Amino acid sequence: MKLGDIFDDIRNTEIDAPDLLKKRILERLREEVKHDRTLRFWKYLAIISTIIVALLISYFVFIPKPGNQLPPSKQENVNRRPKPEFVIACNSLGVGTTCSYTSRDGALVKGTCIMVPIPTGGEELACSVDGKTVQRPLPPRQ
Amino acid sequence: MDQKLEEKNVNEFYVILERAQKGDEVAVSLLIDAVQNRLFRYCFYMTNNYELAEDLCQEAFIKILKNLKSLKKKEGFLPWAFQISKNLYIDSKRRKSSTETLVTEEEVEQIPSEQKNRDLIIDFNKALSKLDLSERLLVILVGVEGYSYLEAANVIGVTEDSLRLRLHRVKKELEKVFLEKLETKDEDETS
Repeated sequence: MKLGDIFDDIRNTEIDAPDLLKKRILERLREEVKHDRTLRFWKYLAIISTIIVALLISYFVFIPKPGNQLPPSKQENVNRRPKPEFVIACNSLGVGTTCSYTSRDGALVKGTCIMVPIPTGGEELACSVDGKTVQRPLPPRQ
Repeated sequence: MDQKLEEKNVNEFYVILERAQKGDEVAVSLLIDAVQNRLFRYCFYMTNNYELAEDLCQEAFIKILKNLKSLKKKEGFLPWAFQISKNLYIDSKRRKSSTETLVTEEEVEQIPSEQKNRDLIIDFNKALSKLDLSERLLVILVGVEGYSYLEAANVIGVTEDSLRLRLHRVKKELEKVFLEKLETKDEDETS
């Protein structure tokens, strides 16, 4: 008997796959497909959530809100600027008298009227509260 | 597909394959039916172990069916399937390389009693188990599956010339081991 003959016999002899092999393959395949689908769902959900969070962050950080066009430092000054009445009060009271106004949180703030230089030259009255001076608001822009 | 599939079945197989590639579950089932014995035989002779072959064949099928859409040439299905099985086997061997032992005589003989030509298969498997993996693959692809040197070289990942040289040496070795075994068997039977 030659090796070629043996190969022929072997070639013509199928080895039967175990009976349950196909069933097990199909079951595993179904499980894997299901698992892959779940993974894909979470992956897409994670991507969408990341995009939404990123958009929200950029909205709050980078997009200026209406009325907030000025830089924060300047905005603070504007916000802290007192109502005109008390400056007028200072005007009528004169230097050294007590000025007062109601702050944003409703508290009564007391200060002293003092003279401060103005950038355009000259001086004007301002209310000094705890060493900080609060000047007359700037005239509205044209 | 290749010379092992009868001509009349080839076209039918291609239709099944195409349908399976499109996700048709019935076609997937038919595809398994069509190739499971071939792939199992390949895994069995590659591992020399019936149980190991069963696990390997299952893993290979899962990978094949999950990646079926990536197969471009329909005629390349079986070589592709063999390549996947080989890579999976090499990976599994690498993972347990430290505890790797040669297959035992009992493992080689593990094959259902109702299997046709059982003794021949066992003897052939025993002879194959004396070879290393790359040599076994040469014998399986060229000797058993009837692949050309070029086709076998592509599956194994070697050049055709190197395959030719190695196969010549392996065939001689196999002939020696296998024929000696058969002669011993004949002597035992006559005495």
